[in-house]
Amino acid sequence: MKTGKLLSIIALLGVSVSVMATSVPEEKIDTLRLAPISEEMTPPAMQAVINTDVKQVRNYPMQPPVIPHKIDGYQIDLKVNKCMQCHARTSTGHSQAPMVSVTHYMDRDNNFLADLTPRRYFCTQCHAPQLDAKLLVENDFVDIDHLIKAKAAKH
Amino acid sequence: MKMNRRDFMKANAAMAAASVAGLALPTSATNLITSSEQTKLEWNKAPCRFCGTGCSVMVATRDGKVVATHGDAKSEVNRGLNCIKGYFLSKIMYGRDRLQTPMLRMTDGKYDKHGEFTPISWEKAFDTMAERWKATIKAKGPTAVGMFGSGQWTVWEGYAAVKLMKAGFGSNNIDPNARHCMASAVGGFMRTFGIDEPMGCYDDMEAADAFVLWGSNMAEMHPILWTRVTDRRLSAQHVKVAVLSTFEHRSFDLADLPIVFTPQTDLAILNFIANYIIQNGKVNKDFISKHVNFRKGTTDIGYGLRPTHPLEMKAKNVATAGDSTPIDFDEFAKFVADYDVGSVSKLSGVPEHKLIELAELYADPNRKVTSFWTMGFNQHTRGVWCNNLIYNIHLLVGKISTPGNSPFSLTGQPSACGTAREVGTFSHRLPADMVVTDPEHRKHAEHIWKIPSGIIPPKPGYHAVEQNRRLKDGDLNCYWVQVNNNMQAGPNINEEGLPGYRNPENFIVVSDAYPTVTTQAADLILPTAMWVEKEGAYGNAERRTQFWHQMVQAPGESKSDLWQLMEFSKRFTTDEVWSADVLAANPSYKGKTLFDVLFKNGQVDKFPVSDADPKYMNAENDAFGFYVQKGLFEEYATFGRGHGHDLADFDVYHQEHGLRWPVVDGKETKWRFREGSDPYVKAGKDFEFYGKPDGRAVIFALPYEPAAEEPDDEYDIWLSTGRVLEHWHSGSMTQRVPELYKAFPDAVCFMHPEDAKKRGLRRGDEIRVISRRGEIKTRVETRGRNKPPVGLVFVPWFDASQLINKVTLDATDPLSKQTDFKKCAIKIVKA
Amino acid sequence: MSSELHVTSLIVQVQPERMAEVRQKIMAIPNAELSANNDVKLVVVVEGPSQKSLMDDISTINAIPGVLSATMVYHQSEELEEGEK
Repeated sequence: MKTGKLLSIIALLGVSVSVMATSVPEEKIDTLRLAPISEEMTPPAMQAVINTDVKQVRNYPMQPPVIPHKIDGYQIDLKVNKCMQCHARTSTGHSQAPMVSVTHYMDRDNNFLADLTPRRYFCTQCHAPQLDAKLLVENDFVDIDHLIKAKAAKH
Repeated sequence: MKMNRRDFMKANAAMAAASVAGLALPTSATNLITSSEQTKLEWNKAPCRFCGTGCSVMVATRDGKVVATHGDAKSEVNRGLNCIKGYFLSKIMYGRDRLQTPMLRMTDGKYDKHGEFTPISWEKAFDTMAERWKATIKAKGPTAVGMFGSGQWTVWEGYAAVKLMKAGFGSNNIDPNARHCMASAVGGFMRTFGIDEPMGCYDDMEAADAFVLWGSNMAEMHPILWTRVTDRRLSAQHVKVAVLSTFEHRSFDLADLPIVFTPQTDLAILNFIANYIIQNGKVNKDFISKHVNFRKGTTDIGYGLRPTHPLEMKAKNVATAGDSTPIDFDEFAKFVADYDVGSVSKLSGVPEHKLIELAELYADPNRKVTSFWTMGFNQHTRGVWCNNLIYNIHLLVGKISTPGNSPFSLTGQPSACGTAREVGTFSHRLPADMVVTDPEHRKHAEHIWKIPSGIIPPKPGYHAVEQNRRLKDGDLNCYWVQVNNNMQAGPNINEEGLPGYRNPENFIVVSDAYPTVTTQAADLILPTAMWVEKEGAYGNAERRTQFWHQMVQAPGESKSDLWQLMEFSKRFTTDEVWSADVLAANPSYKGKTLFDVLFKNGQVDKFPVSDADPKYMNAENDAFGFYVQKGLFEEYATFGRGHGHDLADFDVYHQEHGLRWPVVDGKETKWRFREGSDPYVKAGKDFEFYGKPDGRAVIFALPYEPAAEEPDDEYDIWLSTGRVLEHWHSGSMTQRVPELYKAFPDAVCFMHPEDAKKRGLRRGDEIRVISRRGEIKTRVETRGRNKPPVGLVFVPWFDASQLINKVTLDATDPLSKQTDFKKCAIKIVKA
Repeated sequence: MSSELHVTSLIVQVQPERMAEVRQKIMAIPNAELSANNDVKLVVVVEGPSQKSLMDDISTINAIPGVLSATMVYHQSEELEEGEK
């Protein structure tokens, strides 16, 4: 049996060259602006925070999850950490919120602590809610799962 | 689930198309994949692509793609942590609109300044460029060509660029965007210590008893360093954190001593602290008698505007701005005596008790104190002064160069230190802190570079802001921008940036991975490899040099900045760019290409490709046939070795997770200028500031002077610009990561609710932010992470559709030439 | 006897208002199969015994009113063993 030949790369290049062969006017080049530099556009209306509490699949296991709810007015300062009122290990029974990952109980030297490590105290340094905004440009990041399955399928 | 081959092929085909189209396929039933062979990932280290913290990350690749990243547990800097941007590094290279081919503005197949961007070959791109460069140099000389680079260049890219400009074209018109970012810090270091970059390191954070943030929102801009400060503050109850800013932001959440002051009055607060220390007998007399000189600086130095600006005409000492005269301690004490708590409180709007509490953190001999600052100090029309004044305080009490006692200038770009500063990509600099104005330095550089004497011009070139002005005036005609987005980042776009780029006399080339507003204003766009698509090196804020390997291939025809620079150099012979006199005196150089002279010089091409680890790809080695990165690095390192800037051998950095220079006898240096921890300090000296000939640092008497522009009846409110956590700089990478984009999609105008009410505005209203120079449209935000006081608004600059730099003023520090992006007068009206 | 199998996938750009009728027309083509789509884009998988047969089907799809473009992304060919289908 002859092994399959993947021509996808070649086909893709062929496509991109033929697409690119057309020229682009100045105001269409910057995907994030799509207007002349001298012009002022009406900014989009402020978007609402996605507040569904539905978890978004992570791109890879080490990615900090995004926050699937509003955090308006949450206090996280020297006195209080509002997030931990639901996400601390001891709170998850009543809140049914996911517990912060075990890494959040480890200090700089990877020793486990009794409570949240101070180095991870400010949750918003890694976790952010998502606004209901329309993407200006798609991202072609490929999930490792797709790559593995694509490979498995070839054998 | 069983599939036959036909089904597999069709599934593959559908998946390939769906992923290109950005469509999700319905998922089939999946099982866990337990074969370790199938789930294995290739992991390699790399420094983060974003800020100057220099976190190390582990990067996973599979089948030619980056598929995951996480914090490097072995890195001293971040110990396994990343900020939200760092965690999404995996996605920054995969925005769908990556530039894939060179594009030239053309009409009917010919270059046309007003034409549409048309795909062309690299061959044609370089031909077009070279033709313009040659004609311009012939007609107007080398000062009419220029380059704008970046603190995001890798070390060797910056080095190759400096060589090409200064040693090749004989033009000093090369400057990095670090000019907008770190120039005042550099000026401060050179003026006070005679040598650039911090004496301390990040280890100070685990040793300090107090932290003072001066115009630095570390919680958002240096999140991982902030985790270390937070760790220290919450782990040791005696530790205090003071945060000073012109508006309240996320760093205030950890503040024991929160201080909001009136813009520009930081100068007075700094002098008050010095005065307090003296008045209360807390001066470390032994330290200042042995290690410090006192000088009085020139005042009334102007605001770095165009010479025709009324403020420049009015200023008395523009020409002698950097001068100073020696004084003694008593004269200094008398000078700062004017800055008493009452008058400074009135000027700054900070209550007296807070000023005293702040001063006491520095004065208390039993408290180790670390000061951090970034753009609040540096983007300041008296930025160098601010830097000088903070050193004054640390020197007066001798709290310097010991663990926890640290005046620490943080950096905004991944290699602002490693490339812009250490390599010397500024218009006045050469590698290892040398300057073009010093004949000995030029001679030394020409010797190492093996070029004839007289090639490097003695006059500094145009700095960043001056470049835009000269483009507009038609003095600078061929201009190449790499790794930055200066049409969005530079000040006063309407009056200087845009007219400069679009001046019909000029030809503008922009190398970037993504289309930006700078590419939009360009004439030729070059698609560029980024981050782990090439082998690289960055140097972070604590003098740590970090390397990474190329891990994946760049898309389409994208090439690294390094390849572009070196390949372009092949287009020129010495006869076309050097003077006939120089060539007559050095006939052996005649007819050689700049590539031969600069890169095939027996040094840069010394290491064979076989020296490179065969496990990794290296596009530049493939193109040029020698180990390009190693050759450039080793030649560059000869500048600093033995001169206080020692770097380790090239190969060492591929093994280590970064080393802090000077690296002497294989050992890195954590605290400079102190005996026992810095090998350059002579025995018995205790401390030695060896950047100065007599080993003494300088305390400067410098006053408070007002800002270039203040609110008045018409333009009645201050504007400060800056960044947000989720976006890095102009957002060209982070706006293309969906999770980061959705966390903060559009810029807004953060405003006090009373200021909004006064203008009849509510949250979400569309407004016009207007200055004397330009305006943008944005929306009112009266809640959220930034809480400005009445009389000041904050607008971030990451948003390409809201170019806030149309509004800002191009006033700069006359010493550092760095723009003050934090202060100008605006008005706000409902749109 | 062995035979060849060719598979390709296309991204078809469609005028959004005609998406439904375009989908109907493609479903009527024996060798074409619909996959994911959004308002303006459609992924189609086409199979056939030769490259020529694929090209014919692509031309057919291109000619459907409402289709703005049909772009080939992926192509794979295999020799099938006897009895394999």
